[in-house]
Amino acid sequence: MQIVSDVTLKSLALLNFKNWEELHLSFSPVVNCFIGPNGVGKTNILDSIHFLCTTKSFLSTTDIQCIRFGADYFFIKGEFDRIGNLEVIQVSLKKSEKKVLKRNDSNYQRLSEHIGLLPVIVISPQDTNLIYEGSDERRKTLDLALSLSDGLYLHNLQRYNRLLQQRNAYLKEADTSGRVQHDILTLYDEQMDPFASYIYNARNSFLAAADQYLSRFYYTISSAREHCSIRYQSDLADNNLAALLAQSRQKDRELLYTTRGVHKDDLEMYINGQPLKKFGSQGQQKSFLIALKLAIYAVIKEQTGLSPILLFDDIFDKLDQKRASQVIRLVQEMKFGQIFLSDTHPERVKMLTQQTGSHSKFFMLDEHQKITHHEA
Amino acid sequence: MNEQSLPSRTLERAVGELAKLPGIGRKSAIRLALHILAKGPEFGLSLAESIHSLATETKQCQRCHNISESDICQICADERRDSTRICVVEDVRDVLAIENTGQFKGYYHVLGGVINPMAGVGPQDLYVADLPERVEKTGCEEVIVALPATAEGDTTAFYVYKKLKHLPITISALARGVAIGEELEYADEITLGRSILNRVPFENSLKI
Ligand SMILES: Nc1ncnc2c1ncn2[C@@H]1O[C@H](COP(=O)(O)OP(=O)(O)O)[C@@H](O)[C@H]1O
Ligand SMILES: [Mg+2]
Ligand SMILES: [Zn+2]
Repeated sequence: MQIVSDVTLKSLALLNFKNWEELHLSFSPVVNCFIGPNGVGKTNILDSIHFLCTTKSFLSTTDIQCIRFGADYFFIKGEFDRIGNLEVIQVSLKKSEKKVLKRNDSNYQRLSEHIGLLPVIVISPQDTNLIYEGSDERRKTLDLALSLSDGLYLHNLQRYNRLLQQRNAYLKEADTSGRVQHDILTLYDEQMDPFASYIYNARNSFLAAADQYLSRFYYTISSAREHCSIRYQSDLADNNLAALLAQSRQKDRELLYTTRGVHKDDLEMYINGQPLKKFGSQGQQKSFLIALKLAIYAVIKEQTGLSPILLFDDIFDKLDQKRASQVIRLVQEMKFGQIFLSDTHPERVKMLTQQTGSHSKFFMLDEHQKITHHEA
Repeated sequence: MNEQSLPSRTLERAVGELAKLPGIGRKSAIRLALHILAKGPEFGLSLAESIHSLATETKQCQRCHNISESDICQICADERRDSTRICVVEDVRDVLAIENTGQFKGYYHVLGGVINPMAGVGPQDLYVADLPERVEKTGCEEVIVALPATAEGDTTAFYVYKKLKHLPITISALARGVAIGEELEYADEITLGRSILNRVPFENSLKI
């Protein structure tokens, strides 16, 4: 089956990005596989694609850490096809300078304006952080997904966070100076309120939509009929933010920070009604995370009408042969977009793509970072 | 980077002072200082004198807090201006920018900053307390709040609004919209969305 994607990366060029001194690749619009032993730089290639779409690494690396050891800049350039238009995106960073992002040769004033142009979803071994790390990991994933699907979300989130920082700074300052002006706190409560409502409603409806897909995707991946669900936890479920902040003002003044609001939101994951973290086996957790990421993918596609680029890192880390091909089949049935995947073994990747019979490109990486490629 | 030491202590002092200016690093400061030297004593003295009078002779307008040579600035002293309108701005640069448009004939009120607790700036550090009284006493009918479209600008605008809303006047804000000459496709969604919400009658859009 031939997929015509709405967003495809046609070619990629890297200079001094992580372990890649120089790299030029051109891609299939359907499936692209990076194959090679551990440590050769497969994940780094996927990360550079993520960088072009979101201006950030999907690993927890800072921008500076992406510069190849010993070099003093990195450069990434991608040629995308977006609904029939060529979009040339370039990101570069010189040590001790600001990151520069260009679309078709003109600089973006604000990086955030770029987010949403080229939707992308990553599935990687790091996803287990969503289960084991704190709520900020879950909010980060959710915020990126919403930023990709809703043009106003990131702006409203940034405004909320800025006002929150100012409110917290004021709580500390009022404590040091020993006098608090209640009208200033009220000012922040009222300013933050509409942004909080927007964020709450956006997260709530996004997660409700994603929840609809979850059990079905889980079944396709694992052939097991478990009931999977996600539940959105937010202080705002009870009341609007201005009212919540008025209630907790005394507490906030004692603790010197804002104790309630959408910056405390969380996403809970359940399998058959039990918390996934405690009651899910390792296998169940892995399948759940893939189903969750694909559900997020499906909602972004539903809301934007664009098929995101799917980056599937170490695909067999989570899946055996049979399940991996079920995932690829699901992705194709759903008319998902262009896929980039990585693995250490050529045979199983080839079997995977033969089964699906789609137009694939293979990039074989060796220890010396030499790349041979062929198509199937 | 190791700092090269300069051959003269007077030069060093001048470079040190120049480097305190915004946007001027040590390298540029050295370049400026050497330029002043090269231009000869007359140039340098004239520059020094102008900085001296800037520091000692300029005052702040007691009414609008614009910079001024006397207690009341040239704008406030100009009785031909429209006394029914006051435009509230963050600083003196905004007065210059709006004056350059030639579109506003009222008076100004310079706050001297925006509320920014992270930078240690609260309302008590701004000239906002005297604004309601000024509005009441001067027969002002409309206050135009022309503050930056940032979180701090909006917070301050909201604060100003709260201080004035009990008065029988119109309080307006700058229109926010697509920049002239900008392709719609490249306008950010927030700005474009605002422009659609705050659209204007076509006849108004023809005015230049
Ligand atoms: N800034 C950098 N400069 C040079 N090498 C880097 C940099 N960042 C990471 N690497 C190297 O990249 C390699 C890991 O690449 P990765 O893409 O994770 O490999 P793979 O996914 O193929 O296993 C490591 O050897 C690491 O040292
Ligand atoms: Mg890897
Ligand atoms: Zn004046």
